[in-house]
Amino acid sequence: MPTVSVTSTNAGATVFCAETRGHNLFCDIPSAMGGTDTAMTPVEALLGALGNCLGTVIALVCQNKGLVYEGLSVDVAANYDPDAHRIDDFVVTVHMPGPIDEATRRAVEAAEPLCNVHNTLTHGAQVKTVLVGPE
Amino acid sequence: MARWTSKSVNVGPTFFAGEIRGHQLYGDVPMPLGGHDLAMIPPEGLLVVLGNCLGMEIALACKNKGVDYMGMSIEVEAEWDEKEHFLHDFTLKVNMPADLDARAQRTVEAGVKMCTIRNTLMRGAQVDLTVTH
Repeated sequence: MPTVSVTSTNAGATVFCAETRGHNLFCDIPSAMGGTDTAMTPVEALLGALGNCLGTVIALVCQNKGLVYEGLSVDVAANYDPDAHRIDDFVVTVHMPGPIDEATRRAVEAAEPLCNVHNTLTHGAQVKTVLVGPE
Repeated sequence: MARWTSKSVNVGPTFFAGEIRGHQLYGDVPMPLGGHDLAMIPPEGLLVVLGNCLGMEIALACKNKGVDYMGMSIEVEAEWDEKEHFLHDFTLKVNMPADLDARAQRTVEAGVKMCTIRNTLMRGAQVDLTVTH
């Protein structure tokens, strides 16, 4: 079972930058919440990660089957519960660039169970937090 | 209950751009998987989003209580089930820049509980998918 890991570093008052394999992702919060709005909030980035993940696996399955997918888009919506500080009821709408025939529908259905972000969200996961001081 | 939305558009063979409020998030896959490795793969993005969210909530809590947090970092690890295609057993290591007294430790712990991504992962969520032309 492989382990995947990243490090997020505080890069400004409310700006965090995470790095993995040379790729960076910045997050911030809007001014009204005390930040500087230089990047997406992490919740927005979660929706984006889900849309990108589903889009990618659909693209890979369509590629393998010789189906047209270039230009497809994925809309993601979710409800935020401000009392429980969590989001739920994600609705994902996949817009294919051409007419949806049986082969295309089957390809999208085959791709959905391959999406790691989708599956992690629907399974739920244990999250353990460890606090350490300066070394 | 607030509604959040995003749009991810295919802009290359396996390259996607997610967009919200003028901010963009890119995803791609490495070359052995058929992509060009132009950005993180989305599951890496999930770890990153969790680390950034936890860090931000701790930063806000510390800022409000006058606890030193500048330069803090979060290491995130998760186990990947390759067969079932999901991540599990996330571990977050919060590295604070200074030793924490009891009050500062309570502040950090309060920030942890505010992390929306952590709370969403721990409870799980429903995801419904539809396909349109």
